[in-house]
Amino acid sequence: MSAVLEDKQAELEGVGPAFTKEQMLSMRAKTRGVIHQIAAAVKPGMVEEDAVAMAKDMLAAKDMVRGWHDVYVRFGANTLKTFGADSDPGVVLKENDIFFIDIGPVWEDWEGDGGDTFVVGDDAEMKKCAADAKALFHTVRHKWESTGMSGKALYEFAVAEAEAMGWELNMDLSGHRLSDFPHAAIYDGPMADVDFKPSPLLWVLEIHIRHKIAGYGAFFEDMLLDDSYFA
Amino acid sequence: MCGACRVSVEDDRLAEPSPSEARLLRYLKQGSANNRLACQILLDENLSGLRITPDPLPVRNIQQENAR
Repeated sequence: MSAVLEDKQAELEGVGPAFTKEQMLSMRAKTRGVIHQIAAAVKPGMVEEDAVAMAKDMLAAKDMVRGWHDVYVRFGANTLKTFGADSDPGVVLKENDIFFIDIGPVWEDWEGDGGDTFVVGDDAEMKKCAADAKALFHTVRHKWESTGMSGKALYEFAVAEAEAMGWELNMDLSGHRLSDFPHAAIYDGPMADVDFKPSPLLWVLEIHIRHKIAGYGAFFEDMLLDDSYFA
Repeated sequence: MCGACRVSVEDDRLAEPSPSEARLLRYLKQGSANNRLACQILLDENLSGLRITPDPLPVRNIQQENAR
């Protein structure tokens, strides 16, 4: 790697004074724990806005009132919406439906970020969509782990893999830094723009796939870490 | 809302904070009754001349703490 690229990586992978590996991993565990707690409480018949309010209450109960990005619980067709877009209002979760959760809590001095997709009922295509988002996350993560591919190359790979699986990858959600709060002061751009291999613990990999016809999508997001953290 | 834009405002022209803003302000440490989040203030002509004072959150330096 050239000296210029090494300097760039050192700049974009900087951390703040509160950064520790242990706290980042602890924050990851807290984040994923709350995602599954929220998912377990989401039921058919619930209105999306009520699910978001419930999610915020659950985060607050875990001492995560602060968030570096908003809390998203998206139902049905709203799972097609990109990051930051307003959901269509009043969407009710059906008996056979899909929803995803995307949270970015801040606890004390550390950021978390994670997402996952869940299906209620027995729609096989929706289940496949949710499973494929997670599978593609791990396919890309394995590629990261086993090669020296840059963030840019990893997302080019992800686009091709998604296409081969029959999905469209939303490149508005293409990975980013995570750190002691606020990572945005160091680098708030996408991982898909970086020309070096992202280091573990410092980035999240985001996969948002969308169905070209059926009108729904799935999302999976977690920290970029090796296999030992996904046992 | 992350709380990073916490400010102090003494001006009764501001609308009441939303429940979410109020909850976050209660949660943040070392605050005052005049705190608001700048990102939640919708600016319009009626707020012309509004005076705000930054009231940033304390920053912890774990690396220095561990070095002691």
